[in-house]
Amino acid sequence: MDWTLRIRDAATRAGRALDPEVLDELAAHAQSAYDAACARGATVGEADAQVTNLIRVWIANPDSLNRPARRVPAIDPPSHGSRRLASLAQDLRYAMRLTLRQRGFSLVAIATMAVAIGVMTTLASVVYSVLMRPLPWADPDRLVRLTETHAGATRQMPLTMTSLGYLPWLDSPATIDAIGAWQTGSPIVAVGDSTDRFSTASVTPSIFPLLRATPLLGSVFTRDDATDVVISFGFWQERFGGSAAALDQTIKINGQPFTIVGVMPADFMFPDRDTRLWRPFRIQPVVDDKGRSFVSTFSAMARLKPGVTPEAAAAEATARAQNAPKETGPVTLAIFGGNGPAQIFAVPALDALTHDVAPGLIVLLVAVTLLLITAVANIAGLQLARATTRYREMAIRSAIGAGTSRLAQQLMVENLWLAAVGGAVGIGLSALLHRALPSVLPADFPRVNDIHFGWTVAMAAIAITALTGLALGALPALHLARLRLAGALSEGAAGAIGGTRVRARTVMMTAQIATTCALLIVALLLTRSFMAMVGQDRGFEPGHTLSARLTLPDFAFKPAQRLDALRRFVDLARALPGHPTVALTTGLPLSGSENLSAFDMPSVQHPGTDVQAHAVRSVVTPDVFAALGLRLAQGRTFRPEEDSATAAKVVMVNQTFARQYLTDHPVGDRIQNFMQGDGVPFEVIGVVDDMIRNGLRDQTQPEIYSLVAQSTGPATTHEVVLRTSGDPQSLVQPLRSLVRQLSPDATLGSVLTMDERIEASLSRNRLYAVVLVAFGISALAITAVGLFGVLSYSVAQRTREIALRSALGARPHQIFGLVVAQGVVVTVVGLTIGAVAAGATTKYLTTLLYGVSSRDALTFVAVGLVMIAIALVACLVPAMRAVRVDPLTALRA
Amino acid sequence: MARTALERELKRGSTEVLILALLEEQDRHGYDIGRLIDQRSDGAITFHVASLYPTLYRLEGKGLIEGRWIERPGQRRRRYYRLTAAGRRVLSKQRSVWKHFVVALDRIARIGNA
Repeated sequence: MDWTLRIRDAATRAGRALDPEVLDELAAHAQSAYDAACARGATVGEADAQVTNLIRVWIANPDSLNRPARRVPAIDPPSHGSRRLASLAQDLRYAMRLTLRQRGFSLVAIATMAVAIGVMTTLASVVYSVLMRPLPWADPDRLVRLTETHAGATRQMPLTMTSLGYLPWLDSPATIDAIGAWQTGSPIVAVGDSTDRFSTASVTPSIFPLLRATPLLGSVFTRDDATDVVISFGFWQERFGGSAAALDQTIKINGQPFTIVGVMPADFMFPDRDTRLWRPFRIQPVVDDKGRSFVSTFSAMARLKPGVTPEAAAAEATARAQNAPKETGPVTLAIFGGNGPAQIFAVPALDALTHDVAPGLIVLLVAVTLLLITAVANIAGLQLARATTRYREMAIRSAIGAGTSRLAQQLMVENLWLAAVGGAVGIGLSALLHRALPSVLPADFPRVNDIHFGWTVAMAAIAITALTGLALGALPALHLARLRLAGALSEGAAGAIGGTRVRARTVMMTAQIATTCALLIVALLLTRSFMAMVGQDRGFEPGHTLSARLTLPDFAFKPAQRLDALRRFVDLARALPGHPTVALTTGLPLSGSENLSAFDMPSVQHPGTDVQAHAVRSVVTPDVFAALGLRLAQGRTFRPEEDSATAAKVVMVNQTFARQYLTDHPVGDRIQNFMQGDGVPFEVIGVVDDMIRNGLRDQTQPEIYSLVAQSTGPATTHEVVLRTSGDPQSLVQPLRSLVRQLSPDATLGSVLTMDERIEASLSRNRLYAVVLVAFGISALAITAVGLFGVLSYSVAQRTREIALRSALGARPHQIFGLVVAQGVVVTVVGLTIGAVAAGATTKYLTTLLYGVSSRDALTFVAVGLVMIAIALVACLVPAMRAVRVDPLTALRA
Repeated sequence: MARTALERELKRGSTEVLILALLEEQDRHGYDIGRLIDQRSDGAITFHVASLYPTLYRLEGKGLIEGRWIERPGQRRRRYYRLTAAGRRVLSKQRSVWKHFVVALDRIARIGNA
């Protein structure tokens, strides 16, 4: 019996159509009912009648027999969560395929992102490690560094204290728990038979409890007059192989025996990472029992009582330092160039340490952030342009059932993927940069040891990457929301949605140009400052000059022997290849060594009165002016034959000294007491131009030059200056062997050309300038590419419009101008915004600028011109493309 | 008349739970379901043959049951229904509703003792 046929016939007769599956199902039912009836004993006719009846009932209301339109999936649908995961995995696979398919774009995007993320992460790590990471001592917030100055001071000595401010504060201070002081040096240290120079610190015993530092082995010294020494972990490992037997051993520092009493742990670095030994530092009373005054200068740190501000502590210290003994007046004058009442400043130790580098680092961090934004904006712009080709893809996806959120998710995943790859490469780059940092950063850069590439840095990089990816994905995804996808499928409809895209890119472009402009202005300002610093006339000629520090230690040379050795040294050095001009001085510029002196001398300006004078006093050999290239302003320089030990005593002074203390015709004036207060008059034979000894912003000090031959006893250490016509580096080896030949006890240190000294003193400024110029040029390149992209895209969008214009009679130069004008308008608007922003912010740069105003018009104009030129170049190709649009082809298309 | 109306309403309300309960035991085809309802109620609840398939389709539309074709050698293919997870949840809910309803009826109208 074919029930299917019977049921279908019945349905057709009733004018209804049944779903084939329903038909099948009812037929199966009918068959079962028929079989059951037969089984119950019904005749074939009875059974047939029963089923026929059943069919009639079914067909009476066939509408209710319509199966729901619900499709039965071939496989079980995954649960909601796993479906989402599956779609993410699908998007990720798609993103990866896309990366490989669009190699050029992917490479540019990933490389840009890698560099930006790598550099940004590294700088963020440097800023955190140097400026923000707490110092490695207990309760570092309560540690303050102290600075002393005096009213009328002409020389500021940041982070330096004297015994005048320090000692009165020791007696039950109200605002601080502890105070400690130290001086650093690099004496000759003898362990057994080997001798070497080491960085050491003389510290008051209070330093260890102040820092809450405990030794790894043994103990620290508690008396400031002990001959105990504490060694660093590194020194212990190197010299004693980490053996406990190091304790109680004797080492010699500058010939004087010290007993090792303790070893500090590896992480104890004070005051810097190079310090290998700590020995007791005794601060002498300002006036001793014989009435002699003695003022020492040193670094000092204090631990504030809980809740006390640095200002309150400084106020207490200032109040206590007011009653300085009268005898100390000249010394204060010598040190500070002024001897008014003392004033003490206290700043948090971390700020004190990083004060010099903070502005530079912050400028760099801001700059790299701007660079990252520019880079991201560019990639986002490229993404938007790329979207042209993808509108159809998106539209098709949408047509086959992808919702907007699903499409947005896909774009997001694509961009996060790009960012992730860029970020991964960036993290690698950052690790490399971290490794290179110690050699890239200037030697005097604080806390270089605290900069590590670790988990925190990696996490920061991942966070930056994620933010970048989100920013990158958000723009195209947001754009998608405004998309009329159906339109995109119809031919030639791209123009309808092109408008908003061009506008979005133009806004981004303007922002990019503004950012680049600001970056370039800062970079150029810092470069010009650096050039000004290098080119600054310092009063001496740094070229072709080698300098070094020659030490003839007390334990090996008596004064007469030393004088003889110095004389021999000069003679031998003159015979070196090229016959250099050789001189010795106790006050070489940029060497950190200068003798400060203050003395009462009979006034030459107002005869009959005394004047309290202060000066930097250098003891020199006659050729020092020629060797350093100092310029003679008046009179003559020293002559070895005339100005001998037995001849009349003579001095030379600089112009500041002459102006401050001498008559209008200073040559022939006599000054007294400057050497030992012995009353012997010295005749001024010449005046030299002022020179800049250290910082370019330091006030020039009065200076006196006297002869080694006419001084009472030669100093232990002299700076050697050799001027040659050739390469000064070629003298380094001959000079070293000459010193070895002179005496096994003589040592030569800090062998540097004067150019190197200047370079080293400007290394931070150079670093900032170089890095910023690199950022600026990168930003310029990124922006030029971006501008080119925007204009090319815009020309492509406007092909029909351009064709129409030229069909209506526009000349090629007008079409050309149309495109160029578009680029120029964007550039000029961007430049204006950038220049205003730069003008508003460069005033924060003043501590980094030298010889150039923060609103230097030349810089602003130059940057503007360069950027307009670059913009024009970027416009050129799109504009030519526009000119070549053939109206016939374009309009017919 | 009143009796028929009550019967109709009760039937309509109970049909779904009956089908779900039968499918809870095992997968069944439409004929089987109709036959079992008839058999187990001793004929007290007879299904109008017209309402079986609409009910099945409605339940399938709601996602409570799921039908699929099964072929056996020498037989017509048959559509077997099985309870979905959602159907299982609805069944247990309806069971407790019915239980409360019956208990309440018993308490008030002494249906249980009648």
